[in-house]
Amino acid sequence: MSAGPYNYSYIFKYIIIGDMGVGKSCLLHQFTEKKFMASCPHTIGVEFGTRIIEVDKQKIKLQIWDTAGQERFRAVTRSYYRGAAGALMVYDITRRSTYNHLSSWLTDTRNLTNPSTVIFLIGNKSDLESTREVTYEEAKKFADENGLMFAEASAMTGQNVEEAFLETARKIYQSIQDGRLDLNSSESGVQHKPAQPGRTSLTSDAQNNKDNCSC
Amino acid sequence: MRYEGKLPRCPRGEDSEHTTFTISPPPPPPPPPSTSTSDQNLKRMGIPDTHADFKQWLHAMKMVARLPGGMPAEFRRKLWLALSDRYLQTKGINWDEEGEKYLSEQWDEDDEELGIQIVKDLHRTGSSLCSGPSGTINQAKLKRVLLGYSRFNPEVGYCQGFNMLGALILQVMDKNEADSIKVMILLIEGLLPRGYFCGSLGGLQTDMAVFRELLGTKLPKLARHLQKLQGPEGAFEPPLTNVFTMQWFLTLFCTCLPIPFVLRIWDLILIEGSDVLLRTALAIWGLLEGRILVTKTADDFYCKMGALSAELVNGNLIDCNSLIQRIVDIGAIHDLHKMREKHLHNITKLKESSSLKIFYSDEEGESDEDSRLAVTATAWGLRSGRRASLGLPTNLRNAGDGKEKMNLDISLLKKQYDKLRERQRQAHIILTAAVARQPPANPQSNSLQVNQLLVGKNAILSNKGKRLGPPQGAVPPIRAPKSSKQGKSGAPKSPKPAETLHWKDMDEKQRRGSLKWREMQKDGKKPTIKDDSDIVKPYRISKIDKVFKCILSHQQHLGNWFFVYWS
Repeated sequence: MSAGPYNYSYIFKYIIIGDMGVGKSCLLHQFTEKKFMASCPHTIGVEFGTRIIEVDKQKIKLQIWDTAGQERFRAVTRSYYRGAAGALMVYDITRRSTYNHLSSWLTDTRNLTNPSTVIFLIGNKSDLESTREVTYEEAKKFADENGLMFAEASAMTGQNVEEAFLETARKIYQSIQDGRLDLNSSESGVQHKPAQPGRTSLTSDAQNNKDNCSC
Repeated sequence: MRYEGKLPRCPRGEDSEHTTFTISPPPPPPPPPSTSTSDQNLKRMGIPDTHADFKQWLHAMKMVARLPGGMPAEFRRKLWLALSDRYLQTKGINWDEEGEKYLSEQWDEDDEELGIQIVKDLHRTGSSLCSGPSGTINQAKLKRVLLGYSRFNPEVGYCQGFNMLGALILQVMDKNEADSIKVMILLIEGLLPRGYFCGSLGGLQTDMAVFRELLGTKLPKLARHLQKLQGPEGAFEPPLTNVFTMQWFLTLFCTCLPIPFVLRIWDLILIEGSDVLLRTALAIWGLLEGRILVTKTADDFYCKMGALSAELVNGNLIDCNSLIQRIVDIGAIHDLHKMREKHLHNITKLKESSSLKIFYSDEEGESDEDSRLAVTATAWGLRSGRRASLGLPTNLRNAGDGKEKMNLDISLLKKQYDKLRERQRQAHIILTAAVARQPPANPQSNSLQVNQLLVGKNAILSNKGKRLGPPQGAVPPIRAPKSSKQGKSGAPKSPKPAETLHWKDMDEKQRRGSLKWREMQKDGKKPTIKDDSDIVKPYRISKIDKVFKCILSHQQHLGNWFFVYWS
């Protein structure tokens, strides 16, 4: 927590998105606190959580932005999509409507993040098998068609929660190793050794893309 | 693996050890709960009827609220109710007649939909009211209050966070549902700016921006530091204060401070108005300043704030009286209205650049509020040719002539223009063949002389003159040759007035050579469109033209988007 010597090499920025009540905050809470919060207060606007993980012997700090799911909050949560290295897109396997809205969430994500942002689709509440409305196969197909990573998880039992967050981090780390992710771009959602204050370098690309209309 | 916690949330307990007074244990509330006790209250508090007397009375209340220890709980309940009753009265709402239907047990279809959303949040309100032995009964009460409010104002309906506000109000109002709805109405409609909880939360976003401006003037050192941590303008880090002020404002601080603090702040809001929100935020950031100035990165800052938020919720950083004193000392923010107007404009701009709505269908993600504003912009834009007869839309005429307001409208116009252009493009693809078969329409005869910048293809007319294709104006008519109207006033011509529409037909060189509006500014050239200048102030017109030029300058960029999107 302190500003002392950093004990991690990277910061990855994540966002968690999806309809209201699908369990976004519970997934985050399960991941950061390793327990299930039955009456987890719903998110107001945006909240964040952090946890340090290890990938390939590298310590990575995940800075995770949890968003409110109600439609009207989208305008205020959108600004947190930008510069996310990972996006966890969550639906509830027991409510088909939350699955049906995925394409809209995906459009938002694609429009507002960079092409190398890793998107992980999570079908939450996998413990509620008896009331399932979306099959694994159907969601898997959707994920494959759209190039998303996918798993069904349960914030209640903790099943696959850790895996989803870690798999996403591994994929991002892989992108860095392959040189596909430009660490100098503030858009990448990744900071390496946060030794310097703030982010001082903007790539020319980012500068070209930014809307400099001042009318 | 190590883990660090999530941003702590307020336990929202009823009382805390820091309380300087308590919400007195509710005296046995006289049933039935649905009947308002306002009349007796008004009398008992000696609330005067005349305006002058009321002002004096309110001033006295203000003094009481500022006293150390604040208002006694029973007094608070009466004050809130009296103010709510008065608000309803001034709005001409006869609660005795109408109140009943908001608490009706009969549900219609809309109620079902809202009910689902509300119920989903009830158990996660986090208030002590909704847990414990009487939790279920209280949850049912809260649900009726929230549904009641959404029936009163369907446009706002239910916004996540209302459950927290509602729970606290119910507590203060001795669980009287009707009275609680009244207080919600006063808070949301009478006190907070429009759009705090509905549409795209434009009012809230505005206040977040207004707050940043205030921070710059009242706590410049902190503001500069936060700006440094955020990185250069255009970096992908949202303003650092946003995540906190957003939550503070949305819940009126009830998730971030001990409840006794919150109640005293709400007293001030009810008596003094919504600027108390901004003053409270300033007081809190001022309190945290020293601890924040030592953070070295944005991530550092967020982690620090996580810890500080926990301290705030527990009331460890400041005692209630000192906080209230700070809020009082900051003093009323006098030009708040102007600041809000100004920032509304920027919010609209931000929305455009971040949401890329031109790719969306009309239904998707567009709020009623947006649509309405967009319609205004469209109407204004499309009427330019016949405004002499129609006049400006009322809302623009009444806009107080503020330049800021104009800016907003210009932004909307620009946004609408983006949409129109995309539609036009799509229409062009679909209708190319159809156009070839249709007799060309006479552009002069078209009463909807669309702004020349929208001109491109024929409107599709059947022989009977009925519309066959897209709505009028969606596919603009052929432009009058040489746009002769422009010359009339002898103003310098807007160079290449038609290029906006034919940009994709131009070769790259031409496109690059197109005039940027910034250059125009430098030249000091006054833009054109003269035939309406007797009605519309010149700067408005020039503004429109600049906006279009600005769009023009982005056309190559837009072209790239299209390419990506369509490929």
